[in-house]
Amino acid sequence: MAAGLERTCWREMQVDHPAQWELAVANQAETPGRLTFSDRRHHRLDIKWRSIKYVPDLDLVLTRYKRRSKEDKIRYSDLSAAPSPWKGVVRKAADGTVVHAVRFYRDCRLLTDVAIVWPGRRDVGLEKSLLDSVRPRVEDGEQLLWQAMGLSVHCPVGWDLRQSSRNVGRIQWDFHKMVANDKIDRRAGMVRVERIAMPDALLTGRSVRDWLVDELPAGFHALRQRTVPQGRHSADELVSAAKRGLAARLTGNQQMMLDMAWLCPVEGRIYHVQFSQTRQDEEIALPESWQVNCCKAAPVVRASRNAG
Amino acid sequence: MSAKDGKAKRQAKPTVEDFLGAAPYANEAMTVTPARDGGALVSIPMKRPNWLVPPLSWVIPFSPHRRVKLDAVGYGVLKLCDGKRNVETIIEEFAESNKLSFREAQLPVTQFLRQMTQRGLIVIVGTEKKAGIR
Repeated sequence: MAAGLERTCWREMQVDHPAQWELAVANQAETPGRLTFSDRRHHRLDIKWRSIKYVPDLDLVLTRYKRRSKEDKIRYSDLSAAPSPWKGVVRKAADGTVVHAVRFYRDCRLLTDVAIVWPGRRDVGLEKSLLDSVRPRVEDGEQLLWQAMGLSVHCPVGWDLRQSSRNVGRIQWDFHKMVANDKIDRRAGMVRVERIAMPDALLTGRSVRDWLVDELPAGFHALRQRTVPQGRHSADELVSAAKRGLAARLTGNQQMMLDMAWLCPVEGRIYHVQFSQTRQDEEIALPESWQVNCCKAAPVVRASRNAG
Repeated sequence: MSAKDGKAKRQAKPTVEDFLGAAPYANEAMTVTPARDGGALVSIPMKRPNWLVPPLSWVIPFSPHRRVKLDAVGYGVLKLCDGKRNVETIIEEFAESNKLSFREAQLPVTQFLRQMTQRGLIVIVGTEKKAGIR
């Protein structure tokens, strides 16, 4: 990866982009793949992908696009500087340039469409490295890397990010284990990973340990609490259980929850990992191969003012 | 410039560039009372509405002040609204002090500035050259 670039891995795709281009749009599960990055003033990079069964004729796609552009009197030229096998066109706009490139990945049958916006001068070198870096994500042994919005998680293969939300300073990802036909394996439970900014405003003088207890949902009670090592930090772990209803008493099932949280001093963020599962015993532990990466240096905001 | 041109210029929707370049000014008439928790209680004098005359004023209560309670984070942002800093600089300073990225800070700060504008704590002034919305 070239210097100054940051890697984003989201669903089927990964891309290396300038760190100042922040993720603005990311698709949810079961929707066409999409990542949109923007700087302070403009959308800069838009990546769309979808799985198709047939092999598309990209030349035909481009010919049709050019014909439409001619009809609409849009000025364009062929994209000659793109690394092979990317094909595309360069569109001139009033105050900049838009590069459209398309590529089909045969192995995973993904049709990928990239649009790069250059508000001022076009940076062909950066454009090449951007297009070079757009590729389907590969499994890292038994793990899969999810990296976006400042969060970086290695999850076991077979688990999928089914829901994500991004509120002010709070990023939340919910992972489920998937089975055949793209269905969720409810018995395997759910892993929620959160990255929370502005810890002073959240903790309001409490320790992370006390905050975990206060955050327990209604109906849950704490069973045990301990401190466990988490990378270079020590995390507070809390095991809790939901109050059993009549049906749960009859079946012997109980909703258990394992919460783990730590404050990363390098980032000034709280990381919160929650694993919930319906079990017949109280021995709950996070499935193996889960790894939440922290200690990423805080962004230098002023340096990004005129970047890109 | 004709009156028609002026109206069109006033109605032009400000761009992101315009908004980031605009400068928030704090209301000089407000009084700020700092609180122990780092927040503040802000009091803004209110003008009595012309229609609020007896006998309506006997039954409709009217407070000559509007009070807004700010937490430590909000008070910190209000202190940055001095007319010298533009919105972009305020977002940058807020992001740096809270270890946020620019986009992470942009949404809460702009929402908060909008709320403070609606409550009369600040006024956001765009530069005529850039925004055309003075």
